[in-house]
Amino acid sequence: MVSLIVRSRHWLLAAPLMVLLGACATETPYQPSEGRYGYHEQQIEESRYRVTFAGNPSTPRETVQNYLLYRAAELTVQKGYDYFTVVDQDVERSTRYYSHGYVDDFGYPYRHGYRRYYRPSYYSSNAYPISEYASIADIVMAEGEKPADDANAYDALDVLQQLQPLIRQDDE
Amino acid sequence: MVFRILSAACITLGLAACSASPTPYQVAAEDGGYTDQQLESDRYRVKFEGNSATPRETVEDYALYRAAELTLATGNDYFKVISKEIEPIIGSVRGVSPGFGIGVGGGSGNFGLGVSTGFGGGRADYSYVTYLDIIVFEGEKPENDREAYSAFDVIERLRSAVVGAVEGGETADEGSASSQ
Repeated sequence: MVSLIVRSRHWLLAAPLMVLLGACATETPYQPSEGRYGYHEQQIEESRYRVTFAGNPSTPRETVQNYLLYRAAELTVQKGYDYFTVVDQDVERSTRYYSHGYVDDFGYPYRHGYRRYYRPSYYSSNAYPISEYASIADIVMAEGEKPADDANAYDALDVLQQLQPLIRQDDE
Repeated sequence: MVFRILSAACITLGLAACSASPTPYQVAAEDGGYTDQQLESDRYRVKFEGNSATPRETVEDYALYRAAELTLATGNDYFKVISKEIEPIIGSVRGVSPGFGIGVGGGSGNFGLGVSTGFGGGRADYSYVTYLDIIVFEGEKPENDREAYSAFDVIERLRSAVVGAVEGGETADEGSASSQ
């Protein structure tokens, strides 16, 4: 028989401590990846490249997309071409969860009989998702005027001009 | 005691369940809204982010409405949707697990051994973000192009949904529950 009378000497609902993880980290700047965050390209054919931009958890998806497009345009100009066509594009999201929780047992355990204890409790927890994005595009570069009827063709200089104000490089 | 457990659980669940009102049609703010980014002279990316109380259809409608608005604002007549992406965002997951333990304690109370059991569940908020890459054009929209939208027409059809939501302050409830 478990009696429901309890001498609850303290009853504390612990406030969850909000830990804002990653709040102090800064966005990935426009930089070569060197293995982790930033841009990277792989030549596949004479005029075909795979361009990647990976952002850290503080970098929004749009920034990753913008930097990828900017890199594609930059590379096109560097290689002496005028426009590029995006043949394939993908955005990948990877999410990790950080969690914390606390246990509340409503105070002292209730003792029943000799050396036996009954202890009601509850566990409350929060899990916070932390996502990072990587964008990948396969592009084919070409010279001359971009075809007017191809929605996947981008004028390299035009893209550079539009996105230039968004590019943030590391000040070192 | 049982009452206390229940009330504590209810308080916690109650806090978790409290939801905001849906994101209105607005420039991106703390509770969502639209953003546009010019990518080329005639190409834009429109984004609409909804909060957890905003249904997916609303997020899509608002993004399309913004695309149409942008088309007219830049002196154009129709737009083509080059790519459309809807990203579901899972927010933080909260859970409460009641438990109960039975133990044996030492005579002096310095040590104890026990088992405890519990069950619990979690609840997560979902929200949606829509991205539309569009190219804007002048003139009559081509008849056989399913990707082409007349900006005027879109605004006409969606206006009541967009304006109605802003004025009426309609409420929508969303969420999911699971238990293990």
